[in-house]
Amino acid sequence: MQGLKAGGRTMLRMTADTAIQKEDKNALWLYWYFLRVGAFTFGSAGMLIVLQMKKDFADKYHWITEDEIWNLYSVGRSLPGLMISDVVCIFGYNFYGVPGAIAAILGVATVPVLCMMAVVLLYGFFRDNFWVAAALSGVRCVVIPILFASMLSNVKTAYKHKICILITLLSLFFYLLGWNVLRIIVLDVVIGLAFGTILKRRVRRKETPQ
Amino acid sequence: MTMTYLALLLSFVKIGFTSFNGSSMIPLIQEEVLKYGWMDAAEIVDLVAIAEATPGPLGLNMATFAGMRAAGIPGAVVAGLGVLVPSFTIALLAAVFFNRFRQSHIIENILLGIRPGTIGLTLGVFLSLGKTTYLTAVGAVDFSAIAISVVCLFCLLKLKLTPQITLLISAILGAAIAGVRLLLV
Repeated sequence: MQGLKAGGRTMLRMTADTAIQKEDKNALWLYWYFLRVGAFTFGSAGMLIVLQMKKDFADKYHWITEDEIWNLYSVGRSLPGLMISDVVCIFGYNFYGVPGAIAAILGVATVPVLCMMAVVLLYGFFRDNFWVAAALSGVRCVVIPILFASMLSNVKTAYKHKICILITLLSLFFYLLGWNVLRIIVLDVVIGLAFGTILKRRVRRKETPQ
Repeated sequence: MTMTYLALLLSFVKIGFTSFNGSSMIPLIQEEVLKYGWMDAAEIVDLVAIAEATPGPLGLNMATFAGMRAAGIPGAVVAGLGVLVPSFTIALLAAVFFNRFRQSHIIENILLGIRPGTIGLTLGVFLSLGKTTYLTAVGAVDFSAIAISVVCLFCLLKLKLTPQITLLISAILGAAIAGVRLLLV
């Protein structure tokens, strides 16, 4: 994960005041906080936001312990949906209930959405310029390498059991056959659930030989 | 117009619910936006790259772009909210039942199938992305594109540069190659 490397330095100074109490603040403040943090995380580096949250809320304000932040992160990562919006949702709920959760999600999404709107307006305008088009033709070639690198980092967690390679091949096979992607994902979920249950039963049988 | 909003919302809710971190959502995004003609194959490739240089996660960037293309600013808002629906629902439920949720094996088992499955799907997507990236409009192999990709892969995996710096390098290389071609012709 490339995000980890840049995480060492402070992305932005949140506030000079280190003694922020959660009782003094509200969901609206949380919205403003996540709006600022969300504006400074480029690309697929949602991890940077989690690190910034750790720095502010665990190290500085002591609202939450570092362990709790990592618990949030691991649950958020395994939930469906965008990792970072899941993490900030659980975080926001912890402090200000449902309004806090909604404020945190909307906060982290605000600047990216505004930015992309600007990109759409500029994209059509710039694409016709010779040099921009030339640079874009180079940029296109970075996509497969980036996806490939992020796929490699997923490989470590994906293949805990040998049978998982079979799931990869099966998914690829059905994709090439032209199956609907949603259908393939549902199939993967079913296989995962079935395999997980079988695995658990086997572990249990080993523990009680009779 | 209402139908467009509804289609955007449904598509991106679907994309949101079936995506588990990062690039795993690209196969479904590709399928959905091509089906409705919100973006073309070349624009998807451009956008994955642009998303690395703009704030926010890829899924949200894709949703905003496709929504804005299909139905202007309201479309962008609808699609953006759509991709966030799992956070507003499942993640909120998980927050309420946080401890019980952490001990449950269901999500763990689902991921057992999803993780290797999405790698298979990503491999499949490489084929169609590769076609748009490495073949020219007339079907010839674009060797300069392959060369830039090899350099980028080296920058990412061996030199451990960030995607943003690699992006900048690829842009300069692209412009330089076009400049040389301009001089030669």
